[in-house]
Amino acid sequence: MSLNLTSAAMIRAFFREEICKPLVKNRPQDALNFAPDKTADTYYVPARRPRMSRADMEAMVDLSELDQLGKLWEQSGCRFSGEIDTLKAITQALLDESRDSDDGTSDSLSEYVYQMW
Amino acid sequence: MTSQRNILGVSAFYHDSAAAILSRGEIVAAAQEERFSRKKHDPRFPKHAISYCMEEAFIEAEDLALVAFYDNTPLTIDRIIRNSTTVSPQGEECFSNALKSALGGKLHLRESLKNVLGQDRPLWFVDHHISHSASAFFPSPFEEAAVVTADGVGEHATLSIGYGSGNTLDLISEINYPHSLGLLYSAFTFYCGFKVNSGEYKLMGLAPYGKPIYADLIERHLIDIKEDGSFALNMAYFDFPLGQSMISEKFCDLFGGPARERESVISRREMDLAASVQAVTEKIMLLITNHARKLTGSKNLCMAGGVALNCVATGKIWNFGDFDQIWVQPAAGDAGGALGAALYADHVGLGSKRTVQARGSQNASYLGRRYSPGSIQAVLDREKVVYAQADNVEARNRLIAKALADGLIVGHFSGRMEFGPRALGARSIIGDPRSVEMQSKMNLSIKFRESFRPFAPIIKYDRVSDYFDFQHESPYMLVVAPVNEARRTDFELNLNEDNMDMIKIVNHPRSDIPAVTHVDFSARLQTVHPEDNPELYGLLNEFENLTGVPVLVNTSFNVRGEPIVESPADALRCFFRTEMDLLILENFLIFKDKQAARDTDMSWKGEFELD
Repeated sequence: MSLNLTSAAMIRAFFREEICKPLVKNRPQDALNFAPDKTADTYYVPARRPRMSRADMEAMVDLSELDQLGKLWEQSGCRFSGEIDTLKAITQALLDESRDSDDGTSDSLSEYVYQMW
Repeated sequence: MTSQRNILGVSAFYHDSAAAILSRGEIVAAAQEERFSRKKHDPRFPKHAISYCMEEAFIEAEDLALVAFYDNTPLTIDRIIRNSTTVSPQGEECFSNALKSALGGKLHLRESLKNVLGQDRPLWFVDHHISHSASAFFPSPFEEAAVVTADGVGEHATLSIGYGSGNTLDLISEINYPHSLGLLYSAFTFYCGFKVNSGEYKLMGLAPYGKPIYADLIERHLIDIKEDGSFALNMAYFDFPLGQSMISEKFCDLFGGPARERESVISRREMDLAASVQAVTEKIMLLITNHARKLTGSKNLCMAGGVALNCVATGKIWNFGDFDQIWVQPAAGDAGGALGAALYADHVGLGSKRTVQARGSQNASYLGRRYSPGSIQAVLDREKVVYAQADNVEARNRLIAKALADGLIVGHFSGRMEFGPRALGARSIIGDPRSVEMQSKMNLSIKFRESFRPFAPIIKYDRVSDYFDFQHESPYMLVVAPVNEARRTDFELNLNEDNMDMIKIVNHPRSDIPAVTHVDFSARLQTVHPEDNPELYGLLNEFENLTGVPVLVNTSFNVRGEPIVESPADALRCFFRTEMDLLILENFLIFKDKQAARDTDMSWKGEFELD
């Protein structure tokens, strides 16, 4: 099995170009709160999704269904929908490479991807 | 939708992959992949566990109404990206690692399921903390309850408070990553030289050897705690968002130096740190559950998530909290998510009615495989093992009780395997709790683990208050309670000693059941009810008839780093590698001293990564 660094390089490029660089200009204010705000009354927030409907559960698909990933990404409340094409490309690359792995199963994929790094 | 309403739940790619199956709302089977793969905390796709569940339910793939998976992957990736943007430009490595982990096997989930099942089935996805909450509430014996879950992290949430009633369940509020009680505890686990996601039990067991002298320091610098139990970590002290270490240099500076090297001597500092983070955890859990009581108005509490396995904290909630009844999912960690996802899909997704059972619907968590006498005998004959047979349960229990009373250590393999991290008598090593040397012997010669670690008692449910300051049942060994004062000796632990001889301490009698009395006179209880396990209750009866004591030592049937045994072959292997004296494989009795000499090569220890 030959190692193809395409997807690794893509992920890194994605991080640098799509995340880090824009961040310099406009760091998301609410991305993560890293310092306690001791003046706050509480740190609880309302549950993001109090209950899932049958439709919610059915609508989610696994990541191999790339054509639906963008829609799901947005439905799930993700902020970075603009980068979905890049993420889809990364996912496709990972999928393609794993098909060349010894048995093509998910069990081997994690290890395979690990080796790529 | 098939008429049988069979639902397969799957948890994978976090820790402790597992599968569970429901049939017409009944929990038919559940098991962790590690028991079959023999890799502890195995996170891989649980193909063996799924196969077992399908076999136990006697169904084929076409009989499955749906498969419920415990995760919302896009949200998990969203959290990874938010985390990375916040810590960038340092987070590149973390981003890479987290993304490959989040994508990993999930890319092939549908394909992996098809490989095991032979065909596609409808695949539903249930959020992480909703699954945890469902695993806590739906199998509980309560019509309605407050539901609290806490772990390291799910998609975004690290803790949730909800309310369940009938077949509905709603989350009300949550605390989001990186503010995590589970990760705070794991940070101290790491700092004290234990393995994260595995050594948290050890830290809890170590806590009674120390004084909580750092608790104030933790509250002043590491975490801000509100009166409602909500909290925020000061991330200057933690490096887990960067993915390289749990803690920062600032954390080490605060507590006086670098982290303890794994397997090195445990010092006074680690003992006091363990006591301190345990005290803070108990305080927070008590505040959170009291807040949940106010939010929901319920007097019943259900809990799940890895933090719910902190049975010392649960004991405090029993004693000092506002609830009349508490039920903790025995597979509270990620394994239980498989069960929770299936239950949520059934009750909320399909709207199936929920029937509350007086003792809950978890079948006492005996949800794994039972091996037939024929299959066991085949293994014994193949391995040329000398055995006796005792088919009558009462006679067999009398023999086992006599052996225990004579000081023998017994491997007890009986009935269906437990679901969850605790051995509840089906895959257990048991012994006489009156023995002063039992704790160190079991730790060092049977389990090959650290000498300080305590053992749990199993006791007849109707005798619990005769031995412990606890008036309730604890069928899943998820509560710590004190031994009755009248049973204690005048033992006093010197909490100032720097170089503690732990073997000397554990060999010092602390009560009339010393082997199960921790150094602070506490014990992690399992109460046994005849409706849950009549054979085990019968064994306790026989032991009581002989000795007057309705208590036994119970520890999991494995050695350090090994998953609990699943099969007779696993049990035999473990039996011959350790100093157990007698092995019970259902109706077969195997005495060590009747066996031909076996290979004493100890190189097998390398098979299991130390936890």
